[in-house]
Amino acid sequence: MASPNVAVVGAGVIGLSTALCITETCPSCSVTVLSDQFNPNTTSDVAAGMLIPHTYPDTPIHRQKQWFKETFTYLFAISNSAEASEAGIHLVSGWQVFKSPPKEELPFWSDIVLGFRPMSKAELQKFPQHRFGQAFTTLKCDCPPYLLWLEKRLKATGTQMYTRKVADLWELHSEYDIVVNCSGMGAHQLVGDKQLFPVRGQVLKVRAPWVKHFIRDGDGLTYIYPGIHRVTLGGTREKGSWSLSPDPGTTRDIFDRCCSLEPSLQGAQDIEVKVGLRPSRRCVRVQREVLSQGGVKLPVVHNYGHGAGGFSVHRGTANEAAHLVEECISALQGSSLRAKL
Amino acid sequence: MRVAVIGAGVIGLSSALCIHEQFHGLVPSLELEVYADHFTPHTTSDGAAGLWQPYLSDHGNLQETLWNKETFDYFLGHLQSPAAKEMGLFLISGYNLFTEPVADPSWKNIVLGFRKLTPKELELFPGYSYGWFNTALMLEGRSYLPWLTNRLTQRGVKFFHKKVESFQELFSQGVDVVLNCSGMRAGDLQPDPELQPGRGQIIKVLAPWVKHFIITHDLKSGIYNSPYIIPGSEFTVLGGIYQHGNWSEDNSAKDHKSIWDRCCQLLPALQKAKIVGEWSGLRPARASIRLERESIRLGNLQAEVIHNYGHGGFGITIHWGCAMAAARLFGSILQEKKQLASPPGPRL
Repeated sequence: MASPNVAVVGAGVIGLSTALCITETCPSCSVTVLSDQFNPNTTSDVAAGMLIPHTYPDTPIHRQKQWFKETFTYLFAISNSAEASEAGIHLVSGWQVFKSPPKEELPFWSDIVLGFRPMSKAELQKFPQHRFGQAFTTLKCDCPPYLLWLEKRLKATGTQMYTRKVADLWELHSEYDIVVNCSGMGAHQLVGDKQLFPVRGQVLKVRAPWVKHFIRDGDGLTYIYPGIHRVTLGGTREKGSWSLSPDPGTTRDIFDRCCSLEPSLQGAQDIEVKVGLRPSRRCVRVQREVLSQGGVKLPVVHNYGHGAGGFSVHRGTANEAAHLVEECISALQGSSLRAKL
Repeated sequence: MRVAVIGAGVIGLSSALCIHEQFHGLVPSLELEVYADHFTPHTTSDGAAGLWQPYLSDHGNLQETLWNKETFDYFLGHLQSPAAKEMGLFLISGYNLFTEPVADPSWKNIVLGFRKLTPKELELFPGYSYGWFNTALMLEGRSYLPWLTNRLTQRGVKFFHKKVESFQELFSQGVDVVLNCSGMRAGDLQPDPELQPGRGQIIKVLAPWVKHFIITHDLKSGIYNSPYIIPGSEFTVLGGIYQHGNWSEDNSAKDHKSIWDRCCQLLPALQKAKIVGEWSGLRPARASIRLERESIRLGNLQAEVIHNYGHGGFGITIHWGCAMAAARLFGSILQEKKQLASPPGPRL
């Protein structure tokens, strides 16, 4: 197979980074990105893009740690380069605070982020309702810049991108040799994965340029994440809710919760409300599958179900998916050799 | 009781506010006036980035360390107040970088979360092998000075835009106490060979992705002669110039290039930052701050001057501790003049 045709379905952070990894591991591949949405209308665009991992209950911890480490290392190098501002990648320091003792004193990612340590008593005084805390420095991927940067890198490799709603992966079998499914929440419909469920998140994006630190309540519900131009205030975790409409009561509640963590937010301006559905699953599905109908086979690589942790592990899962694509190519080459005998 | 403050930078305005807050209720006849040739945004304080950070060593000057601490603690306490945004006050964390191990600074327990940098963090800064991380405060002059001015105006303090030529000039008009907060120009009022300019130049850029201050140190070339990057609420300040004895307030192309090249080397992403301004100013440098009373004989009158100048490159860092000390000196003047000892009621 001289130039395998690979279709990547989905143009959020997972789709674009997976496509990019494929062009890197398989330069002879012809990669096309197909998606019904591109930035700034993907779920990724709603997310703050903070590199603070979400723990998947059914994925082995060592695998999650490897994904996070690869992602952090990759972004760290970009943040340190002249491209940092274009890519939207920047370092940010801050605090994760807890009202009651955290489940783990040392999360699995504590040695990957920078300078992780417990907060001092003096630091905790800023958070009178909280009794424990962790201070560290991590990275943030701002969207749309990061998605735009990924698109730019893809275009430079000759990757085509088309707006297209794929109703069924099989519809691609005649045009493409391999399909990579990075459809996020769309996989619920596209492949009928009932293990995939939405966790609705509402956020506010505000102008508060004096806020230089992230603050996150360990319960994961209240957070303040400063981006390049706007600060993301969150949030909600509404399991099973499919609604993409902002709820005004929720807006008020998020604002109040964030102001109690950071009172200066009372002065925030230009409040924008956004909603995203975290494509959640007990384990991220990074897996090969072969679809077949009437003797025709279509190799598929799945890479979806990143839930609340997409940005944190995107490059690691993209690498893994790209290797699975390589395996698919070898398998195809093997079977085409066998077919020739 | 007429009190004239000379100078409307951070030292003059904060000293005025401190004195008015503490003594206005106790001395009903207190009249406070501020005289200056420059007001915000044209003072030296307006050019400063506003980062709270003393020099690396206090040279055994414990008094100054205590004033620094007083300032930090005071503003830390005001972080959660509704006025913080208007004051230009916010928390900021960042890096101090060295090419060799150094002793911990006198202020390590004043700031929050002081620690050494890890090897991985040092990878961010090739050429630097040692460093600190800590959380400190920003108090942006361009917000803080107008805020002080508003508070003073509300309290009925009068402002006069004029260059005072001598202390006598004010005393002959009936001023009882002069607060000399004239910064770099103190030598014009009373010669002081110890006061020398520490010229600085800065470039203002738009780089909103920078969330940390980064201050490098070259122990051989002295403080602030090594690149630094300090992100404010609107723009980021790039600097790294300290020229002792240079009185020029003009921007130098050579210094511009030095700042730009060295800061871009420190943080490559700055190459894409848009330059929005440039400024030069004179840090009023002195071996130690002159904060003391001086009695001046004028005929048969004794006039009092409280000097509060020579804060070098750490004026914002130390200002509140100094303002409180100046207020204490004022209090002792009042006691001597029996202004405080008098109980309320008709005076004999």
